[in-house]
Amino acid sequence: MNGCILILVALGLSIVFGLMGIINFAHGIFYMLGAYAGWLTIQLTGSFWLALLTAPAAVGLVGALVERGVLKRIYGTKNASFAGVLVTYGLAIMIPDLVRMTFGRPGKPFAVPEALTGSLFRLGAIDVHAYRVFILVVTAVLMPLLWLLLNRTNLGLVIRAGTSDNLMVQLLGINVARTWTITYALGAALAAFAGVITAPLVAVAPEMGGLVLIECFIVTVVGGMGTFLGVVAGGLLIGETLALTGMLYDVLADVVIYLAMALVLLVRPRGLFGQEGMSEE
Amino acid sequence: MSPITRRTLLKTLAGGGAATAVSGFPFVNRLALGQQAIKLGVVVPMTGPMALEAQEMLAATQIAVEDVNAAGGVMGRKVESVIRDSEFKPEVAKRKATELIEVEKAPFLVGAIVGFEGIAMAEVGCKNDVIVSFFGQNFLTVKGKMCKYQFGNNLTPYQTAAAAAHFVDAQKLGKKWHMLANNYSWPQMFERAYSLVAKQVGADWTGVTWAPLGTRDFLPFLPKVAAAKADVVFITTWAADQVACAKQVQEFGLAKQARVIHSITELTFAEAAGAGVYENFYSGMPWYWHLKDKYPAAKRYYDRHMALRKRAPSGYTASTYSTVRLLLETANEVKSLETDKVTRALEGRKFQHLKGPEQIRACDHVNMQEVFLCKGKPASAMKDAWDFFDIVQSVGGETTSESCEGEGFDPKKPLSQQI
Repeated sequence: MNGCILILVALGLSIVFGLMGIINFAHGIFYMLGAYAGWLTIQLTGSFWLALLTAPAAVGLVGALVERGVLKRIYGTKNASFAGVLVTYGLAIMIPDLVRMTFGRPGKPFAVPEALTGSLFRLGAIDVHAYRVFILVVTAVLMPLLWLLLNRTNLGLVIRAGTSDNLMVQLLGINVARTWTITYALGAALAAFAGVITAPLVAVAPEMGGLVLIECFIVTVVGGMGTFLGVVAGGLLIGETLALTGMLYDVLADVVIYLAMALVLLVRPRGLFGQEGMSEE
Repeated sequence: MSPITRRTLLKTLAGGGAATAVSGFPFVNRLALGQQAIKLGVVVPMTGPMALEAQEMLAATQIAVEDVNAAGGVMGRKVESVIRDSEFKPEVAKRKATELIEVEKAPFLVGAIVGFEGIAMAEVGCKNDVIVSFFGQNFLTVKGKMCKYQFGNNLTPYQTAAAAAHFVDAQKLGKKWHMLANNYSWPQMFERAYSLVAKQVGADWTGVTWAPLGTRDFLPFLPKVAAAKADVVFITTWAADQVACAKQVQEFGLAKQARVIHSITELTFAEAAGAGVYENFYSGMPWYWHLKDKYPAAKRYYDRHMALRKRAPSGYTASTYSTVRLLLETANEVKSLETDKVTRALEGRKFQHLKGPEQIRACDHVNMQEVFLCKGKPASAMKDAWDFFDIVQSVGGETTSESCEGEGFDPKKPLSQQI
């Protein structure tokens, strides 16, 4: 499960960094907001399936507002990258507190949808539950769709071109500002989707975005900043490393992902699929 | 009636002044100081991940202070809480504690929910010879790490673990034990306690499966837990980790092959997990709101907390109430705010607030008290939004506490004479 969640959250983080050059500390809050938006939808409609659609849409809109209302103001300014870190870090502190003030008590109950409860089959010592298979299938379906979006559409072409050479794309007369907004919103929506599908298994709480963000930074560094394949490979590697260490040698589970990152950086500093020159400015 | 002349007025004022001087200063003192409130310094994380727990504890503090004031205050003076936000950061907790002592002249400090805040506050209190009493678990009862002015009515990790272990033994739930825990210092203290009690009662301790703090997916760790083939699995996790763990342990079906016992839980965790998630799990707590049906004082506290916060009080809020009340009542009884005097009076002090009789053990300042082992109810059996558990048994007193010798203290001497 971990690998799937990491891929979904880290993908947005990586695309935003690749295109906009922003180390987005606010990304974890979209994951958290997704879980809360999902909870709210279920409270209002009783439908988990509707929550899978409304939460990413609502949080994507929040992402667009953040990009338009806040981040836009720092583009092109002196030390924009550093300002981006400060601004997004500020949002990452402020928004969880706003959520606490709005939703009150810590934690919101979020059950596995009735149709996906129970075990499907047994794998070794573990009963494989329908809900975990659902997470796996959904991620497996989403990944090719996202690949198609990034590689076979005009929007994807602009995003990829912008990731490679942002200035050139602007010189070609393409409306980069709109692309940035769409990209940021897409990243937020993906994180929110991950938040909804994780919510039945974890505690829905304002601080849930903090830890996932750290792991996603590791995924993007290991996989290579700004690359689709890198995120998928990094997510699977880190997720599986965590899982296998938990099974085989639990006392190392605390440090193993940092060791994996150190090892990859020693052998290949740009990450597994990173391009030379990316993030070296 | 003759008019008051200037001479008569001067004579009267001079006479009054002389009378005051002869009768001494108490009259003057009462006028000058009697109305001045005693400041109780409170440091809790009002912002950050524990912000809402902090609000609950502030409500408990308010109720305790109101109770003490209603009973005449401390030495006839009103008590006033002076609250500071630790921001969930040890350096801020330290700064705010110092400010309360140096600027506000607070004679006592209370607060701290988590360990690092407690350590920070204790350092400041002990350096300035001011009593510090914790709201969170009282975990500093290891010689060399504490000073003679540290107190706390909440449970120690040893008490919590020992209560769960003795409960398992008394209920004959099984003799093969294992623990699943987050890997940091607080759960590590439970490992020691469980392994010691296992030896005492002849149980087979199969060790611990450690999951990192902040684990989102516990599933990879559960096969190792299952492979231990234990009769009883103790789970020592906290907050979001406990909620995720409870959900996934239920999903994994661990409760079908072993008795699952959360060493300690809070009402808020059961609420966050949702109705029925704690079903069939046992959980330890320092207090549970069902005690309102047994103790009238607990009923009064429950009603007032409900009025203030619109929700049932948790075990930790009850410990907070007791911590504040005990400290202030003791100061009132010895008619002093002097740290040494109040410390000596607290050592060995017996009291009863919201549950059965309690006593601060003199040799280590641990509160000898009951621990409540509760069983999670199915969603269908819940009578209201907070009715997650039923109390199964209370375990308490000396049986659940490590001996003072075991902690490295002299059992015959009060702690204040040992450090």
